[in-house]
Amino acid sequence: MSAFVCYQLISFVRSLKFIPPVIIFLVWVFILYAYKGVPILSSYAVTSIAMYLIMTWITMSIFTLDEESEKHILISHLRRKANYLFGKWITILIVMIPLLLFAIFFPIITGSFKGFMSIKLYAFAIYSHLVLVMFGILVGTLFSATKLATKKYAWLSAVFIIVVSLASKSIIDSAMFFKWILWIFPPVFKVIGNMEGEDQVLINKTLILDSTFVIVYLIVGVAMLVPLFIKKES
Amino acid sequence: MKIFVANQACKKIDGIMILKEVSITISQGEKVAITGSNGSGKSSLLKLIGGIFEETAGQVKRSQINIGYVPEHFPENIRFKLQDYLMIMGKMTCKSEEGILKRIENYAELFAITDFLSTPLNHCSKGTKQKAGIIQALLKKPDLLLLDEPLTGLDDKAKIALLNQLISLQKEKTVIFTAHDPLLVEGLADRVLTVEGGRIVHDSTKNKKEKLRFIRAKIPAREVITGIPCIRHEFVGEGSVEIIVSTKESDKILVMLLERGCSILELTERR
Repeated sequence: MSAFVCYQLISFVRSLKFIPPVIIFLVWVFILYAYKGVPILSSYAVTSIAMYLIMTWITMSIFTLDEESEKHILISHLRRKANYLFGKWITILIVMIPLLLFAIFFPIITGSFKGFMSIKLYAFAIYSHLVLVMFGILVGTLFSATKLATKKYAWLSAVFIIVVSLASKSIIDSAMFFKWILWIFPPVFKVIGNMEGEDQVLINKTLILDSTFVIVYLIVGVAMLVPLFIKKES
Repeated sequence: MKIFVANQACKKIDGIMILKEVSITISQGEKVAITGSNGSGKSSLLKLIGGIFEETAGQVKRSQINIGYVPEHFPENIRFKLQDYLMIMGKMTCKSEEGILKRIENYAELFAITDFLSTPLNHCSKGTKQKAGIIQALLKKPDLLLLDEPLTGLDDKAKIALLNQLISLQKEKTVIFTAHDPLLVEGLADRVLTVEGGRIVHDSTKNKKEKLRFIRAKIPAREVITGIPCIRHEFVGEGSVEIIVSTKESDKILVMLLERGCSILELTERR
């Protein structure tokens, strides 16, 4: 598996497909922290959302990196189709690490926050970024590694999912009926909803319930994507 | 041991039935050629056997064995130098870096691509890419080797090198290939499946005893053998060569040898 991940990383870097999303992400973070004395949690909420968008983009780029015959050769070496999917996910997570570290430590190094970091804030910042990265990977995988990838509007559909998930709170506020439909979209607000207001993390019932829902959502998402990928490749 | 059993297997892609009611059994060690016209379903059958495709209907059973796959068209946009590509592919199956490197060098020499090992793959010719495709599969030391039109883009020398390589594989290794070229079908296959319109219309076991001839000839120089469409050849010292040819081609090859100043020392039926 390590050779496959190495193959994917080299191939991704040499394809130069990483340049647009990474540049946009860096510019986004630079602009966000152009002002000093910004609140901690809401700034991290913004960079988490940025990572959600960027990781969807990177995921779709990495899944569309290999030609069909190249994929067949690679799967023959990996023995199982699922290993190809897991290898791609590991590659994406490795690509994510420097972006995550940059998003978390850049404002600390530049002294952009108005308050001081605590262990709880570090933990919640890592949690929010990681969860939104996972959402990005799920959305990207759904529209580039399942049968939906072959549809004409795969990229547009991925953007639609992202926009709806980000706007879900406002949509539900306008009509409660949507509450019963929008639960299938990534529960972004179950994470960033806890990052409003004061720069402190309150471990209360709401946070625990929201986090449980998010983790269950991610597990179910992963469990559904594996057979969907295998079905597409059969 | 049966490595593949299909019973009334069908494969549908984008609403089109590519394979229809395929029922075959392939045993370990068989050398199977899949022939048929363009678009008949040869490659799809190969992919079904290798598990790249799963059946839409019917039943298929595959044994869990090590498979090497050579696609008809090697990928165009691989972003590695030839040696780096083979190295990283070798590492996916084998742990010893030194062992892989040695085998890459041997195969590169065999297929005459040593000079291109440090060339980026997307700058290589079609034939060199095809050879890279074959080597990556051989590096796996597969129990089942699947080759989709493996002779496409290969020069005569490389065709013979591949044939020699495939013939020299251990008996228990299974080789399944699609081909139009009679060289590979005559020289390697002991079973021929003919596919038409997604169905297997003919399944025959070849009797290779009647098909091959052995020629021993005295040669003025080794170069005279270049371009001769033999199945296998071996130089005996500097002055002579032993060649295995298909019966069909033998007269033509004898004429070629005589025209090139060779003397025929022996001509016998083989196997």
